[in-house]
Amino acid sequence: MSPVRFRIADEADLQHATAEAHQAFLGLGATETQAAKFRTAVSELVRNILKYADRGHLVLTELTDGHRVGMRALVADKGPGIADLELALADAYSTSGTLGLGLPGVRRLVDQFHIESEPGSGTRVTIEVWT
Amino acid sequence: MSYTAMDLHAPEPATMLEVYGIGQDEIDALHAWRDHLEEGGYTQLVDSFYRWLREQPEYEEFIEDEATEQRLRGLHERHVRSMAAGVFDDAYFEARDRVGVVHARIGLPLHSYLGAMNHLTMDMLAQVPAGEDQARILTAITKVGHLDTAVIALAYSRYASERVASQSKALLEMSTPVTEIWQGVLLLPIVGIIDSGRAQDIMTGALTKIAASRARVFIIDISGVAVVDTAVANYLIKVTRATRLMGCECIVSGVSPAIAETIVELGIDVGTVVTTGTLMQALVVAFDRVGLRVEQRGSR
Amino acid sequence: MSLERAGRLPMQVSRGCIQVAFPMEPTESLLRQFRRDLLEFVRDQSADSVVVDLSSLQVLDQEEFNSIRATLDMTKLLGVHVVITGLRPGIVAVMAELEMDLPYPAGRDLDHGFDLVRLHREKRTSR
Repeated sequence: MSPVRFRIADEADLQHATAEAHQAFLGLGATETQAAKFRTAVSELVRNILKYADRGHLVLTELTDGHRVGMRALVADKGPGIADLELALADAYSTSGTLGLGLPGVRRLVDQFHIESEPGSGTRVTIEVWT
Repeated sequence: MSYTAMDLHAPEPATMLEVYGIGQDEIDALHAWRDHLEEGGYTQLVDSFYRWLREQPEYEEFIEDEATEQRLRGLHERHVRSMAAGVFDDAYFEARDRVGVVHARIGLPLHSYLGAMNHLTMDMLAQVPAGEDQARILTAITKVGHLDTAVIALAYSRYASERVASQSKALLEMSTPVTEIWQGVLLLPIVGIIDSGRAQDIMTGALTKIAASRARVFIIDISGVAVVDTAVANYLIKVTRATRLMGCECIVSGVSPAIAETIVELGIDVGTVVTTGTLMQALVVAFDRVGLRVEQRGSR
Repeated sequence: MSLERAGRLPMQVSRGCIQVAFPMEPTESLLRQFRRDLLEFVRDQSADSVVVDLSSLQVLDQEEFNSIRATLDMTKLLGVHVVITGLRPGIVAVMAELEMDLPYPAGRDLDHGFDLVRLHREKRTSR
């Protein structure tokens, strides 16, 4: 299947896109728990678009390495970007309260996590999960 | 909040005119055409249109009587006149938008409408006199025909998506039923998605019902909730905090292993919120809080 | 009643209380399995409490601690009372030093753990 792109501009887009992500991963044979974790991770990232960048997009791609299958989600926007990536990724596990962008949590939910961000020119997060 | 998935409002008039390549040249050409039409051309266009329309299957369904046709003929002529007048201001676009919404609302299929638009445009092109301006006028009419079609098609899709949105909104509102399942115990099963609008409905519904019933325990069952991310968890935590301020303890039941995993992995601190895996466990806790114990009959 | 299943780590339930021992030599995959098995077991049993025996822990790094803490937190979200037992003095010293906390009632050994479960139940029903 070729990559599928979703525009993200409001909450309805978010619900639609995360439901598609969930279905796609289930369709590859993921367990309900794996699919739920992937959907939640995508939901967190897409919500960041709505909160900070207003609009952006999600691209879902199926992956295979010959033995296993997986999904990649690219979540990108042209919003304000993240000034201090290290801080945004700092694990706040032992502290309670708000969690900023929730990026450490997303990182825990997935197998691979990659982020690029430039203040003023946007953010691109790529996550991968495998069955 | 917005329920529409796409921005279906037509862009600014200036943008539309640029996209469809309509400028002063085209307006001048339309004016030349208008001068020609003044000699009985409008009547011919309207007559030809209704001759054609009477043969369409939609005619009887949508035009009940002679009076309706007369009224529509008037509107039709006004529509053609404003095309030929070449004044593409906000009023021009609003009028087309309105026409689109009206036809969408009465349920005229879009292809029928576009078919009629096509027929009208062909008639208008046939009304262009031979002469040195002919080519310019033909181009201008074609462009304006396409412009009108675009505005009306946008209105059609906007109407359709608004209808879907309002239907799903109605569905969501129906699906937050707070029920008193025992004296002092309220239950709200949530199925599907929780967005900011629905979270608001849940909050209002819960607090109103708690106040009315003087409930001691409020159970939110989330076994039917598709995804619990930070935002959804925060909505739930907010509701539990609010119910506590009303003197009512909140229990979130139906936490599946998958949801428990995502909540903890996301680092969400649920604080003092009481959670249970099943509704049954929540009921045990709730009965305990209101001082009830459920026992097998005949035991002890 | 023993409910050990092929491939599943040993877990038992007795009088509504699940008893489980943390695996020896916890590799990453074993930690994952422990979490999955425990959560599914809690879901499938109608127990009100879990006693997690941690006496097998010889060393504890941050990674392992995070995993254990998360697993316990997830278990609690499923609505059961969580009690830990058997932490060795060396491990506890490390935890204190590195400010790692497991905010759950802790018993010296299994017997003490079951006592804590009983106390919790009594407190609940006497309210």
